Amino acid sequence: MISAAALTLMVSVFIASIVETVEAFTIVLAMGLTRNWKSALAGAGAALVMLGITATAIMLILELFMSQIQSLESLLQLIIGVLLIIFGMQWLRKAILRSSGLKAIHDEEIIFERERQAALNAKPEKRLGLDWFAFVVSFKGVFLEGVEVVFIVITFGLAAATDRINPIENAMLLAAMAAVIGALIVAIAGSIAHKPLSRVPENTMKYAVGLLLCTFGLYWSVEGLGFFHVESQSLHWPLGTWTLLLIFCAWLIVSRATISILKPIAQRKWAK
Amino acid sequence: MRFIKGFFQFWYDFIVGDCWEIAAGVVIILGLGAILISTEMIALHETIGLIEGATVTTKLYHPTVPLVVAASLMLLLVGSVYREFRRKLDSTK
Repeated sequence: MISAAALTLMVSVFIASIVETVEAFTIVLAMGLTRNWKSALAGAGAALVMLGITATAIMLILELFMSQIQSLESLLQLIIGVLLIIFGMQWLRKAILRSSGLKAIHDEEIIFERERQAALNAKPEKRLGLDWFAFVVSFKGVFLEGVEVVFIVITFGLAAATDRINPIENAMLLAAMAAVIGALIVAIAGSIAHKPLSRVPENTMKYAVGLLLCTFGLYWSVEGLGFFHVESQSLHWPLGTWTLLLIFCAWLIVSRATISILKPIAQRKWAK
Repeated sequence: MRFIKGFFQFWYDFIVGDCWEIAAGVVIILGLGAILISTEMIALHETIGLIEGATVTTKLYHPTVPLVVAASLMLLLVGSVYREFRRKLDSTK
Protein backbone atom coordinates (compact mmCIF):
# COMPACT_ATOMS: atom_id res chain seq x y z
CA MET A 1 0.00 0.00 0.00
CA ILE A 2 1.35 3.46 -0.90
CA SER A 3 1.79 5.81 2.05
CA ALA A 4 0.39 9.37 2.11
CA ALA A 5 3.92 10.75 1.75
CA ALA A 6 4.63 8.57 -1.29
CA LEU A 7 1.30 9.55 -2.85
CA THR A 8 2.09 13.25 -2.30
CA LEU A 9 5.49 12.73 -3.91
CA MET A 10 3.93 11.03 -6.95
CA VAL A 11 1.16 13.62 -7.36
CA SER A 12 3.71 16.49 -7.20
CA VAL A 13 5.90 14.93 -9.89
CA PHE A 14 2.85 13.92 -11.97
CA ILE A 15 1.49 17.49 -12.09
CA ALA A 16 4.94 18.95 -12.88
CA SER A 17 5.39 16.43 -15.69
CA ILE A 18 1.99 17.31 -17.22
CA VAL A 19 2.77 21.04 -17.14
CA GLU A 20 6.18 20.64 -18.79
CA THR A 21 4.99 18.09 -21.37
CA VAL A 22 2.15 20.39 -22.44
CA GLU A 23 4.71 23.15 -23.13
CA ALA A 24 7.00 20.79 -25.03
CA PHE A 25 4.06 19.39 -26.99
CA THR A 26 3.04 22.88 -28.16
CA ILE A 27 6.49 23.45 -29.65
CA VAL A 28 6.68 20.03 -31.35
CA LEU A 29 3.12 20.46 -32.68
CA ALA A 30 3.96 23.88 -34.16
CA MET A 31 7.04 22.47 -35.89
CA GLY A 32 5.23 19.37 -37.09
CA LEU A 33 2.22 21.18 -38.53
CA THR A 34 4.22 24.06 -40.06
CA ARG A 35 7.44 22.44 -41.21
CA ASN A 36 7.89 18.69 -41.14
CA TRP A 37 6.57 15.97 -38.81
CA LYS A 38 9.47 13.57 -39.35
CA SER A 39 11.98 16.28 -38.37
CA ALA A 40 9.93 17.51 -35.39
CA LEU A 41 9.49 14.00 -34.00
CA ALA A 42 13.17 13.19 -34.66
CA GLY A 43 14.12 16.28 -32.65
CA ALA A 44 11.79 15.28 -29.81
CA GLY A 45 13.15 11.72 -29.85
CA ALA A 46 16.76 12.91 -29.82
CA ALA A 47 15.93 15.16 -26.85
CA LEU A 48 14.41 12.23 -24.93
CA VAL A 49 17.57 10.18 -25.53
CA MET A 50 19.68 13.14 -24.35
CA LEU A 51 17.48 13.47 -21.25
CA GLY A 52 17.99 9.79 -20.48
CA ILE A 53 21.76 10.21 -20.75
CA THR A 54 21.66 13.37 -18.59
CA ALA A 55 19.54 11.68 -15.91
CA THR A 56 21.83 8.62 -15.86
CA ALA A 57 24.94 10.80 -15.60
CA ILE A 58 23.45 12.78 -12.69
CA MET A 59 22.41 9.57 -10.90
CA LEU A 60 25.91 8.05 -11.33
CA ILE A 61 27.55 11.20 -9.94
CA LEU A 62 25.14 11.23 -6.99
CA GLU A 63 25.73 7.53 -6.33
CA LEU A 64 29.48 8.16 -6.26
CA PHE A 65 28.92 11.12 -3.95
CA MET A 66 26.73 9.09 -1.61
CA SER A 67 29.13 6.15 -1.52
CA GLN A 68 31.87 8.53 -0.34
CA ILE A 69 29.80 10.15 2.37
CA GLN A 70 27.41 7.42 3.48
CA SER A 71 27.07 8.79 6.96
CA LEU A 72 26.21 12.29 5.79
CA GLU A 73 22.72 11.98 4.31
CA SER A 74 21.88 15.26 6.03
CA LEU A 75 24.40 17.02 3.74
CA LEU A 76 22.70 15.52 0.69
CA GLN A 77 19.30 16.58 2.08
CA LEU A 78 20.63 20.10 2.54
CA ILE A 79 21.99 20.33 -1.03
CA ILE A 80 18.78 18.93 -2.54
CA GLY A 81 16.64 21.08 -0.25
CA VAL A 82 18.49 24.25 -1.24
CA LEU A 83 18.16 23.46 -4.95
CA LEU A 84 14.47 22.67 -4.56
CA ILE A 85 13.65 25.76 -2.52
CA ILE A 86 15.41 28.08 -4.99
CA PHE A 87 13.75 26.36 -7.94
CA GLY A 88 10.37 26.22 -6.18
CA MET A 89 10.42 29.88 -5.14
CA GLN A 90 11.09 30.84 -8.78
CA TRP A 91 7.99 28.90 -9.84
CA LEU A 92 5.87 30.26 -7.00
CA ARG A 93 7.05 33.82 -7.63
CA LYS A 94 6.02 33.60 -11.29
CA ALA A 95 2.67 32.03 -10.33
CA ILE A 96 1.97 34.89 -7.91
CA LEU A 97 2.92 37.49 -10.52
CA ARG A 98 0.62 35.84 -13.10
CA SER A 99 -2.28 35.56 -10.68
CA SER A 100 -1.81 39.22 -9.67
CA GLY A 101 -1.83 40.36 -13.29
CA LEU A 102 1.81 41.52 -13.13
CA LYS A 103 2.95 38.93 -15.66
CA ALA A 104 1.22 37.59 -18.74
CA ILE A 105 -0.73 34.39 -18.24
CA HIS A 106 0.92 31.40 -19.88
CA ASP A 107 -1.23 30.80 -22.98
CA GLU A 108 -0.47 27.78 -25.17
CA GLU A 109 -2.44 29.22 -28.10
CA ILE A 110 -0.27 32.36 -28.15
CA ILE A 111 2.94 30.34 -27.81
CA PHE A 112 1.81 27.97 -30.59
CA GLU A 113 1.11 30.92 -32.91
CA ARG A 114 4.49 32.51 -32.09
CA GLU A 115 6.34 29.26 -32.81
CA ARG A 116 4.31 28.77 -35.98
CA GLN A 117 5.22 32.25 -37.24
CA ALA A 118 8.91 31.65 -36.46
CA ALA A 119 8.71 28.36 -38.37
CA LEU A 120 7.04 30.02 -41.37
CA ASN A 121 9.69 32.78 -41.45
CA ALA A 122 12.71 30.49 -41.04
CA LYS A 123 14.75 29.71 -44.14
CA PRO A 124 14.64 26.11 -45.32
CA GLU A 125 17.76 24.15 -44.38
CA LYS A 126 18.29 20.43 -44.74
CA ARG A 127 20.80 18.35 -42.80
CA LEU A 128 20.89 14.56 -42.46
CA GLY A 129 17.70 14.45 -44.53
CA LEU A 130 15.83 16.50 -41.92
CA ASP A 131 14.33 19.99 -41.84
CA TRP A 132 17.05 21.33 -39.53
CA PHE A 133 15.01 24.22 -38.08
CA ALA A 134 12.16 21.92 -37.06
CA PHE A 135 14.62 19.38 -35.63
CA VAL A 136 16.58 21.90 -33.54
CA VAL A 137 13.56 23.80 -32.20
CA SER A 138 11.79 20.55 -31.23
CA PHE A 139 14.97 19.21 -29.67
CA LYS A 140 15.55 22.35 -27.61
CA GLY A 141 11.90 22.60 -26.55
CA VAL A 142 11.63 18.98 -25.39
CA PHE A 143 15.07 18.98 -23.77
CA LEU A 144 14.62 22.22 -21.82
CA GLU A 145 11.17 21.28 -20.54
CA GLY A 146 12.31 17.72 -19.87
CA VAL A 147 15.31 18.84 -17.81
CA GLU A 148 12.91 20.46 -15.35
CA VAL A 149 11.03 17.18 -14.95
CA VAL A 150 14.28 15.21 -14.58
CA PHE A 151 15.45 17.70 -11.95
CA ILE A 152 12.20 17.36 -9.98
CA VAL A 153 12.20 13.54 -10.24
CA ILE A 154 15.80 13.24 -9.04
CA THR A 155 15.59 15.81 -6.23
CA PHE A 156 12.24 14.62 -4.92
CA GLY A 157 13.09 10.95 -5.33
CA LEU A 158 16.52 11.22 -3.72
CA ALA A 159 15.44 13.39 -0.80
CA ALA A 160 12.41 11.21 -0.07
CA ALA A 161 14.46 8.00 -0.25
CA THR A 162 17.26 9.27 2.00
CA ASP A 163 15.08 11.06 4.55
CA ARG A 164 16.40 9.68 7.83
CA ILE A 165 13.19 10.44 9.63
CA ASN A 166 10.53 9.08 7.23
CA PRO A 167 12.21 7.50 4.19
CA ILE A 168 9.95 6.49 1.29
CA GLU A 169 10.78 3.10 -0.21
CA ASN A 170 11.51 3.14 -3.97
CA ALA A 171 10.94 6.90 -4.00
CA MET A 172 13.01 7.42 -7.17
CA LEU A 173 11.10 4.70 -9.04
CA LEU A 174 7.73 6.10 -7.91
CA ALA A 175 8.75 9.62 -8.96
CA ALA A 176 10.00 8.39 -12.36
CA MET A 177 6.78 6.39 -12.92
CA ALA A 178 4.63 9.41 -12.06
CA ALA A 179 6.62 11.58 -14.51
CA VAL A 180 6.36 9.05 -17.34
CA ILE A 181 2.63 8.53 -16.79
CA GLY A 182 2.03 12.29 -16.82
CA ALA A 183 4.03 12.72 -20.04
CA LEU A 184 2.26 9.79 -21.73
CA ILE A 185 -1.19 11.14 -20.85
CA VAL A 186 -0.33 14.50 -22.42
CA ALA A 187 1.27 12.90 -25.50
CA ILE A 188 -1.79 10.72 -26.08
CA ALA A 189 -4.26 13.57 -25.45
CA GLY A 190 -2.26 15.82 -27.75
CA SER A 191 -2.12 13.22 -30.51
CA ILE A 192 -5.88 12.88 -30.38
CA ALA A 193 -6.59 16.63 -30.13
CA HIS A 194 -3.98 17.60 -32.74
CA LYS A 195 -3.95 21.18 -31.43
CA PRO A 196 -2.43 23.08 -28.48
CA LEU A 197 -3.76 21.80 -25.16
CA SER A 198 -4.90 25.24 -24.05
CA ARG A 199 -7.74 23.86 -21.93
CA VAL A 200 -5.26 22.30 -19.47
CA PRO A 201 -5.32 24.61 -16.42
CA GLU A 202 -1.59 25.20 -16.74
CA ASN A 203 -1.30 28.34 -14.64
CA THR A 204 -3.18 26.74 -11.74
CA MET A 205 -1.04 23.63 -12.04
CA LYS A 206 2.17 25.69 -12.09
CA TYR A 207 0.97 27.43 -8.93
CA ALA A 208 0.31 24.05 -7.28
CA VAL A 209 3.73 22.71 -8.33
CA GLY A 210 5.40 25.88 -7.01
CA LEU A 211 3.68 25.40 -3.64
CA LEU A 212 4.74 21.74 -3.48
CA LEU A 213 8.35 22.44 -4.51
CA CYS A 214 8.60 25.18 -1.85
CA THR A 215 7.01 22.92 0.77
CA PHE A 216 9.36 19.99 0.24
CA GLY A 217 12.35 22.27 -0.39
CA LEU A 218 11.84 24.08 2.93
CA TYR A 219 11.18 20.83 4.80
CA TRP A 220 14.32 19.08 3.55
CA SER A 221 16.66 22.05 3.65
CA VAL A 222 15.83 22.64 7.34
CA GLU A 223 16.31 18.91 8.07
CA GLY A 224 19.64 19.18 6.24
CA LEU A 225 20.78 22.04 8.49
CA GLY A 226 21.36 19.34 11.11
CA PHE A 227 24.56 18.59 9.16
CA PHE A 228 26.13 21.57 10.94
CA HIS A 229 25.43 20.09 14.35
CA VAL A 230 28.34 18.24 15.95
CA GLU A 231 26.59 14.88 15.29
CA SER A 232 25.63 15.79 11.68
CA GLN A 233 22.18 14.33 12.32
CA SER A 234 19.08 15.46 10.43
CA LEU A 235 17.11 18.12 12.26
CA HIS A 236 13.55 17.18 13.13
CA TRP A 237 10.60 19.43 12.60
CA PRO A 238 8.08 19.46 15.44
CA LEU A 239 5.01 17.31 14.54
CA GLY A 240 7.06 15.16 12.12
CA THR A 241 5.56 14.76 8.62
CA TRP A 242 2.38 16.63 9.66
CA THR A 243 4.63 19.66 9.42
CA LEU A 244 4.56 19.25 5.63
CA LEU A 245 0.85 20.06 5.62
CA LEU A 246 1.41 23.11 7.84
CA ILE A 247 4.27 24.36 5.65
CA PHE A 248 2.10 23.91 2.54
CA CYS A 249 -0.73 25.88 4.18
CA ALA A 250 1.71 28.61 5.20
CA TRP A 251 3.04 29.02 1.63
CA LEU A 252 -0.55 28.99 0.36
CA ILE A 253 -1.68 31.68 2.82
CA VAL A 254 1.34 33.89 2.12
CA SER A 255 0.93 33.60 -1.67
CA ARG A 256 -2.85 34.14 -1.60
CA ALA A 257 -2.45 37.16 0.68
CA THR A 258 0.15 38.67 -1.66
CA ILE A 259 -2.10 38.09 -4.68
CA SER A 260 -5.14 39.57 -2.95
CA ILE A 261 -3.17 42.75 -2.14
CA LEU A 262 -1.48 43.24 -5.52
CA LYS A 263 -4.24 42.10 -7.90
CA PRO A 264 -6.68 45.01 -7.28
CA ILE A 265 -3.82 47.52 -7.62
CA ALA A 266 -2.61 45.92 -10.85
CA GLN A 267 -6.15 45.80 -12.26
CA ARG A 268 -6.68 49.50 -11.51
CA LYS A 269 -3.35 50.51 -13.02
CA TRP A 270 -2.95 48.20 -16.00
CA ALA A 271 -6.40 46.77 -16.83
CA LYS A 272 -7.05 46.89 -20.61
CA MET B 1 36.34 26.50 -22.65
CA ARG B 2 33.20 27.74 -24.40
CA PHE B 3 31.52 24.40 -23.72
CA ILE B 4 32.36 24.60 -19.99
CA LYS B 5 31.13 28.18 -19.80
CA GLY B 6 27.95 27.23 -21.67
CA PHE B 7 27.42 24.24 -19.37
CA PHE B 8 27.59 26.35 -16.19
CA GLN B 9 25.55 29.16 -17.80
CA PHE B 10 22.82 26.64 -18.62
CA TRP B 11 22.61 25.38 -15.01
CA TYR B 12 22.80 28.91 -13.62
CA ASP B 13 19.89 30.01 -15.85
CA PHE B 14 18.02 26.82 -14.97
CA ILE B 15 18.28 27.09 -11.20
CA VAL B 16 18.71 30.81 -10.53
CA GLY B 17 16.87 32.13 -13.60
CA ASP B 18 16.26 35.84 -13.87
CA CYS B 19 15.75 36.36 -10.16
CA TRP B 20 19.15 36.19 -8.48
CA GLU B 21 17.86 37.75 -5.23
CA ILE B 22 15.92 34.59 -4.38
CA ALA B 23 18.98 32.35 -4.78
CA ALA B 24 21.15 34.79 -2.81
CA GLY B 25 18.49 35.21 -0.12
CA VAL B 26 18.04 31.45 0.33
CA VAL B 27 21.79 30.92 0.70
CA ILE B 28 22.07 33.76 3.24
CA ILE B 29 19.06 32.63 5.30
CA LEU B 30 20.12 28.98 5.41
CA GLY B 31 23.68 30.09 6.05
CA LEU B 32 22.54 31.99 9.14
CA GLY B 33 20.54 28.95 10.23
CA ALA B 34 23.66 26.82 9.83
CA ILE B 35 25.68 29.25 11.95
CA LEU B 36 23.04 29.17 14.71
CA ILE B 37 23.07 25.39 14.78
CA SER B 38 26.83 24.96 14.55
CA THR B 39 27.60 27.49 17.28
CA GLU B 40 24.70 26.26 19.42
CA MET B 41 23.83 29.80 20.34
CA ILE B 42 20.51 28.45 21.49
CA ALA B 43 20.62 25.11 23.32
CA LEU B 44 19.59 22.15 21.18
CA HIS B 45 16.97 19.89 22.70
CA GLU B 46 17.33 16.17 22.27
CA THR B 47 14.60 13.78 23.27
CA ILE B 48 14.91 10.05 23.68
CA GLY B 49 12.95 8.28 20.98
CA LEU B 50 12.05 4.61 20.66
CA ILE B 51 13.97 1.95 22.55
CA GLU B 52 14.39 -1.11 20.35
CA GLY B 53 16.41 -3.80 22.05
CA ALA B 54 19.55 -2.10 23.30
CA THR B 55 19.32 0.77 20.83
CA VAL B 56 18.26 4.19 22.00
CA THR B 57 17.40 6.65 19.27
CA THR B 58 17.56 10.37 19.69
CA LYS B 59 15.86 13.06 17.76
CA LEU B 60 17.46 16.38 17.17
CA TYR B 61 15.26 19.43 17.56
CA HIS B 62 15.87 23.12 17.60
CA PRO B 63 13.35 25.44 19.23
CA THR B 64 13.52 28.33 16.76
CA VAL B 65 15.66 27.76 13.65
CA PRO B 66 12.99 25.92 11.58
CA LEU B 67 10.39 28.61 12.23
CA VAL B 68 12.82 31.48 11.70
CA VAL B 69 14.09 29.97 8.43
CA ALA B 70 10.52 29.33 7.21
CA ALA B 71 9.34 32.84 8.05
CA SER B 72 12.44 34.43 6.50
CA LEU B 73 12.05 32.51 3.24
CA MET B 74 8.39 33.50 2.99
CA LEU B 75 9.30 37.13 3.59
CA LEU B 76 11.98 36.80 0.91
CA LEU B 77 9.36 35.59 -1.59
CA VAL B 78 7.00 38.44 -0.76
CA GLY B 79 9.88 40.92 -0.99
CA SER B 80 10.89 39.62 -4.41
CA VAL B 81 7.33 39.87 -5.71
CA TYR B 82 7.00 43.39 -4.31
CA ARG B 83 10.30 44.36 -5.97
CA GLU B 84 8.93 43.17 -9.32
CA PHE B 85 5.71 45.13 -8.67
CA ARG B 86 7.71 48.33 -7.97
CA ARG B 87 9.82 47.73 -11.09
CA LYS B 88 6.70 47.49 -13.24
CA LEU B 89 5.18 50.52 -11.52
CA ASP B 90 8.30 52.61 -12.14
CA SER B 91 8.54 51.52 -15.77
CA THR B 92 5.01 52.73 -16.52
CA LYS B 93 5.45 56.19 -14.94
